[in-house]
Amino acid sequence: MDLSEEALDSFSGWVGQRRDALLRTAFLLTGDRGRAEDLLQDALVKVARRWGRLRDGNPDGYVRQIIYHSQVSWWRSKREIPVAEPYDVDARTSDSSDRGLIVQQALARLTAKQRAVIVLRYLDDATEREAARVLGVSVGTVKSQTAAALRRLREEAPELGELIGREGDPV
Amino acid sequence: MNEKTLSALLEQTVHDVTAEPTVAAVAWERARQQSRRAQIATVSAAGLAALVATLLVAMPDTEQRSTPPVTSPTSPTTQQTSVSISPQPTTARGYLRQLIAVMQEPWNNAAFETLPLLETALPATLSPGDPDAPSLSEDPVTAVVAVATSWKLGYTDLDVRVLGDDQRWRRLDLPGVSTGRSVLGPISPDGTKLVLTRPDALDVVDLTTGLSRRFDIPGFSLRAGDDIASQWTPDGRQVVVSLKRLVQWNPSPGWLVDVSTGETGKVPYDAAVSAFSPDGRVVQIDGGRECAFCELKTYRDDELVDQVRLNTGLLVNAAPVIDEALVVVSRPVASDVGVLSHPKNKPGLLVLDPDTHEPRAFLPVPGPGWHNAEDVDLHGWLDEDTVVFSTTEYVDRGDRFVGHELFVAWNYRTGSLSRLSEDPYDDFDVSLVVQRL
Repeated sequence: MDLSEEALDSFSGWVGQRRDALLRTAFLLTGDRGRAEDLLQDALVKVARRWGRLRDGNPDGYVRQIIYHSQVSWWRSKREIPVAEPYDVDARTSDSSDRGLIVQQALARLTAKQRAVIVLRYLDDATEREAARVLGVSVGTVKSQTAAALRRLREEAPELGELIGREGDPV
Repeated sequence: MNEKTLSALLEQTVHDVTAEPTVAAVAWERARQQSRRAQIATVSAAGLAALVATLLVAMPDTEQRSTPPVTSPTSPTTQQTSVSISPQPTTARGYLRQLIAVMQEPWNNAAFETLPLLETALPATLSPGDPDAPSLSEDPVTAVVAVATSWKLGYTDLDVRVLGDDQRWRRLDLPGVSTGRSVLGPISPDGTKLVLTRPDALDVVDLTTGLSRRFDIPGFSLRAGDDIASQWTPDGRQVVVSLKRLVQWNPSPGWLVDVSTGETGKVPYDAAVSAFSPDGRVVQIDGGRECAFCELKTYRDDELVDQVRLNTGLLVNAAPVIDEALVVVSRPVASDVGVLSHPKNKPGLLVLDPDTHEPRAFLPVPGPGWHNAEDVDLHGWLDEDTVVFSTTEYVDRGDRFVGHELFVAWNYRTGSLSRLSEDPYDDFDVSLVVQRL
């Protein structure tokens, strides 16, 4: 590990630019602030240990790979997945904090991989090819997982569909 | 489903999610420690790096999640006040990471003899129990730097010794004062006055003249079994006394006594767990053995002005002192994993920023296996960077184990430690007047 001040400075500068976006990704993947912070922290430690090689390469892609893979692995290792109680709000009259809870509940109904592709594609703006590279799957798998995730959201989270439909309506 | 609005909705959902500014520094430190651990792995698997790795991988999910600001219910002592509880700065796990980032090498009793001796008004060895010590009335002092109280149980006369700034012990005669009925309080910051709490009043003894003055406190009544605490304000003009009933867990309001005017009044904070600042702030630490977190309540002019919940776990052994920092004896909430899981390593000295409450330094202070955080005594600030504490090691003297108390100065900024003095006998409970050292 390169322990020089200069390495620390460049690492800190890179984290400073990325930390909020990475935490947001981790939060949507996990649905839990504490777990998201852990995920981000663990990923940054791994990046830091390889910073000498990564700094001139693609640390963004590497850290995202770590975050997504760690979350999917963690999800697999859990025997019981807590299911959020339905949040009793009217999507049409809800404020932004309520909408946030609706989104989190909807995402909680997806599998880890479905959730990962949704976050990658719709929050991180990753292309299908980029998402495939991050997740280590084929482009076809990304397509099928995305389609399955959207179908599931539509069927099992109608309040989200209603919200999106309402917001997407022409004025 | 409209894909563009799904993107917008996801972005809205996480718009307010921001990472701690310290995340890079903490990650770097963890990586550095992991790297070091890898280098020494063949030598030992129990280094500091293992602590970090173990903590973060195996830590049980016991943290308090961040919550949006809520309004606290008014406490019994502040019924007219409603103060917003600040959101927790971070989760317990996140706080522990901050703690690890500022953690220093654990204190080691065995290293005491090797530390440099810091020249102060204390002798290198404290021997308060000299049976031939003169009475204070016969041999006056200009100021006292330490007070020692005997450990004898039962209703016997208090055996109290004071150490003058000339490094000599005197006997403090307190006729009619017996253990169990009166409680000896702290010495004033200038080393000239001593508080003695009686069942229904407060005595302030002038150590330079031996004369005492009694202050009647309306509503104050000490019963058997009550836990009493008193503390001087930094200017040495007032004393705050609080008591906790044996059968009542919540602390009663404290009473403030102005020793120059004789005026008394109630205060909403508990002297046993409050830190007084020279600027008038009082920070009360609501922690305890069963607490997974604690709250710091800041009072100004007897009004509760700030309340923050910290994920630090047990914060005890009051008499914390504010200067430019707040120092407390603490035990991290997640101490049941990693190196901190070892019973010897649980307590430590934690320096907090009194405004942001972020940890500035943490010094684990190991003790014997049965030790807990109450066994580290915090005596105060020697200067704005240096804290004086004592810890006890138990020594087998053949027929019994005796506590050998070690007094140490810790510069929390540099991590340097110095030897102040030691009390090898365990017959007296010694308190220091740090401001006079």
